[in-house]
Amino acid sequence: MSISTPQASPDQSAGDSATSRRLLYVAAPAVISIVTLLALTALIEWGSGHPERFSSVGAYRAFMDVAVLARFGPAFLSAIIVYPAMRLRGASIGWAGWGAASSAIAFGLVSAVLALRFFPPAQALYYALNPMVVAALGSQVAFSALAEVFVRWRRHGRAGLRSPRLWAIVIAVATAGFALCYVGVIWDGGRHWFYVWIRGFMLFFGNGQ
Amino acid sequence: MNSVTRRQLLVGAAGLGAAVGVSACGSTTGGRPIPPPVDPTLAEMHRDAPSFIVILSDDHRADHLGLTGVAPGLQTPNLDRMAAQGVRFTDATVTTALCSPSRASFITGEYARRHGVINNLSAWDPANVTFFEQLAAAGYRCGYIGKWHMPGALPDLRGVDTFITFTIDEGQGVYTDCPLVINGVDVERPGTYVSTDLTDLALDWLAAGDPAQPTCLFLAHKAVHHPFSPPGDLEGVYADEPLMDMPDEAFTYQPLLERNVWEGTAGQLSTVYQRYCETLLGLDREIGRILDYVEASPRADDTVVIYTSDNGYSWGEQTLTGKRWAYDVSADVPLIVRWPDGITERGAERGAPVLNIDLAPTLLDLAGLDVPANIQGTSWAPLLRADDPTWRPEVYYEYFADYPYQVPPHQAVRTPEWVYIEYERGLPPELYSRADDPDQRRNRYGESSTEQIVSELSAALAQLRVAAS
Repeated sequence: MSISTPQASPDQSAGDSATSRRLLYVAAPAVISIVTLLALTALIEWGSGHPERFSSVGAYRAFMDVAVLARFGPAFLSAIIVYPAMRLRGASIGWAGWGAASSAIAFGLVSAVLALRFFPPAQALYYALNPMVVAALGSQVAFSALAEVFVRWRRHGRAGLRSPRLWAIVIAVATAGFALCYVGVIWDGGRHWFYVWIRGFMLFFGNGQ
Repeated sequence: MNSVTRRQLLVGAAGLGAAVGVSACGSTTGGRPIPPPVDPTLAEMHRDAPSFIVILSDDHRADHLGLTGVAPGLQTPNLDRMAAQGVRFTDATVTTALCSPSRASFITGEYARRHGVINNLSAWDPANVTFFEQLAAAGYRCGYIGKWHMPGALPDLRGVDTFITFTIDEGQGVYTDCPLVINGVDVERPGTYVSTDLTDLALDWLAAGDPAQPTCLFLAHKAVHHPFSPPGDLEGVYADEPLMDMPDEAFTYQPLLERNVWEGTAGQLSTVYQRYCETLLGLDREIGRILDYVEASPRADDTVVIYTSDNGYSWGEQTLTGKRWAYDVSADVPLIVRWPDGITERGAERGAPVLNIDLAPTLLDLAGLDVPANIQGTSWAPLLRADDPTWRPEVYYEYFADYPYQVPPHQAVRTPEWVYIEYERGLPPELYSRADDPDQRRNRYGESSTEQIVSELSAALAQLRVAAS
């Protein structure tokens, strides 16, 4: 996208504006997912440990439970909506993939930023590689692959699903993505990847002091 | 360390791949017992010294005993029985509420900053001296059975004739079929539940000794650490029992908060907590087996049985699930002592603030041995007979960053009335009244009425910090 300057002609400005609107239109699903993630994170930070800010303890608990669980939606599952929505709005496979993964990446970056309260910057950055983030990325990639099947069917009907290459790629990517998710949070509660991650930490930072 | 050099980055990247393989395989080196040379004169002198059985559990918070009534349905009949036969310390605290540092403090009598195991990522220094060495040199037969859980290769442990532990899951162990390292040899244990297996081994070890020789057994359980797996017959026994009411700030999916998620308690809070209580019930049963053995043994009256834990545990207080913090629920531990020959006031409670670093000097004191200068704790043996008005008025607490747990490094001073905490980053100081606010919810720091006490405690903390070094 070019940058408008004071010398730009009216036609150029109109073109840039249209391009911006087009980009926003295509990227909107990913942006909405990220904003939802950030909003839920902020609400959890605001409410956690403060039942006095609610009308009752019951209301506090219900709000917190919903917010904590809902946050996993944009972090882990938003590709189910974001990927096909971006593709059907004209995004390439690559851009839709990035859009679908962006919430998981934002999840990691938000975690890293919040970790700055407790750890030095380099350690906080390493925090973005934690098993939850890896699992979220895996989940988003896997659902993106499955969503591509939906996109092909929507555009071309059954004819769009007849390519063996499509199925080979979808199965490979979805399997890899779900495997990451499984290792990150499901297999023994994710502790195996947790230990790998911590051993990696120790290689970089020793005991962290 | 705040930055990473390019070299470290490359080394780390290369090592990360290798770490996958290493963590999957695990390898055992060390883990062998090294009985020291015994001084025959000293041994003869201490032939009538009391025997010791120290039972160390994991993550057992101080108030979770049947006798306290905090969790009405919770039963710990054998720990209650111990308390009825002996003395219970009601203000026992660990100097660092974290597995590895606390365990090292128990056996060395030193603060974490002294023995070097400052967090769960710091290796045990083989140069550290434990109480086993001094007891063994004086003729004691010593054994270490159970959780070691300090990073790095298992050491060859000086002073014991038996060293049984586990390395699986980074030394955390597992509840079922937990493979053991028995005197340096890897041994599979199919069909076992770890609390029962360790107790079986402990009873075998006790039975194999010469009744005339004083013994010191250190039995360190995995229970009641997560994943809170009770023995099969106790699964669900508390499903309909009234346990502790969750604090107002707790909520069902609180364990999924980022500050809690690495504690391994993912799931619904009440369900995980119920399993914790059931696992504790299973542990209590095993403690009962040890007590039964001791009561039937020739040294029944002259065996000191000590039960304690490496740290406490928060169950929803301040939306925390876990330990590490200087708050009471996290740092306070049960401490019960049974010793018919040495305790006349059975069922007594002592409110003096005692610490995990006091265990080593206490054992040496009870054995009639000199306490070495490196030991920073104080023997609480005199408190078994009576309260001591000259006992220390305050205790020092320290926590070092332990990645990735979201707890800033901090130090605290704890008195019977107050907890005052200073964080090294991320949080302002905190001051809580222990008497009025046992769950430490109302931070009094910054109130005009507490300025004086903050000033005094801050000065005391500075002094204690220096002294601990």
